[in-house]
Amino acid sequence: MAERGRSRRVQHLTSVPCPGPAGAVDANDLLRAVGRGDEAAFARLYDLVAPRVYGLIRRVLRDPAQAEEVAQEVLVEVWRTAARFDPAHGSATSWVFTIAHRRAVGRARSEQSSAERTVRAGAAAIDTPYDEVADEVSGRLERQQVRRCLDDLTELQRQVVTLAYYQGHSYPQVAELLKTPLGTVKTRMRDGLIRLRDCLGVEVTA
Amino acid sequence: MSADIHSLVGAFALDAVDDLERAAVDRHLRECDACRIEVAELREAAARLADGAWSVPPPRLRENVLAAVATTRPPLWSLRSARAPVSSSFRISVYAMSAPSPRPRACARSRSRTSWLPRTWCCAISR
Repeated sequence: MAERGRSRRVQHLTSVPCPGPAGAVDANDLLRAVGRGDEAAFARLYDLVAPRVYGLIRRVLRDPAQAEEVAQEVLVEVWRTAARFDPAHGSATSWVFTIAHRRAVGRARSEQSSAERTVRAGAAAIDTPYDEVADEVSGRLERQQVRRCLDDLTELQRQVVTLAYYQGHSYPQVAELLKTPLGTVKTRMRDGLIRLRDCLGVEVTA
Repeated sequence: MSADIHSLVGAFALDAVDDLERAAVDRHLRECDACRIEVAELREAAARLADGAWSVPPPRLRENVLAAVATTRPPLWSLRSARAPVSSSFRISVYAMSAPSPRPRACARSRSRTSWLPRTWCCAISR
């Protein structure tokens, strides 16, 4: 009995992830606990979001080594700034992925070879909006829902949204890649996201 | 002008704008409650696209991140004091000065946990 109690305490102190039921983990609660400096909560939040943080950054940067470096920066930033998270303005996962995406896009745009990257990645993206990364883990409900909702967009909406989000292109770059007027690209980004929002059932109350 | 800026909210939510445009949209959002909600929802929808980019990271990323976190103090107290009234800042600075560590339970395996303390202390006092 005492032995069990001790091992549980040791487990807590070494931040081994809690193997609790994945469905019961609430990212909002975890991020709030992280904001109070709770390292065990951070380890659990890591397990919940890291594959998407890393996958998203890798998708934008197309370089696993660089993606790993940026993912580490992002996840440590989540730890440092978690106290700023306010659930009234959106979900914890959205907060984390927004940081990850912005950081990945910033890195991509600061690359010296960005002009070449734009042409290379853009051409590939139009032909294959889902690359091999997306297929590494299959059968996840969220992924299926996202894919279904992306399929629900018009071709142009889907292209402008995925070129910006997954490839990190600015709207003028997207306009250039698709040979489409700037105004049309801006409009399709907005109405594409609105359609995605409605399909995914996203709501923000405050 | 405002309608022009508002047409950027989709691109803004996708981080597809430049720094100047982002600042303009931020200003626009400060003046428009409905726009803020719209952008929050579009951001939420955009962030769900991360579900479609799932990729298992190398195991060393977890080790590296947790190791970095163990030696990085969240600037929690300075953030709170920035928003809190003066009395809270005072309480925080007193707490920082008097407590051997602000997180006693997490300190069993800590060697350098208090290395952040003087900086936070200065920060809290300077407010």
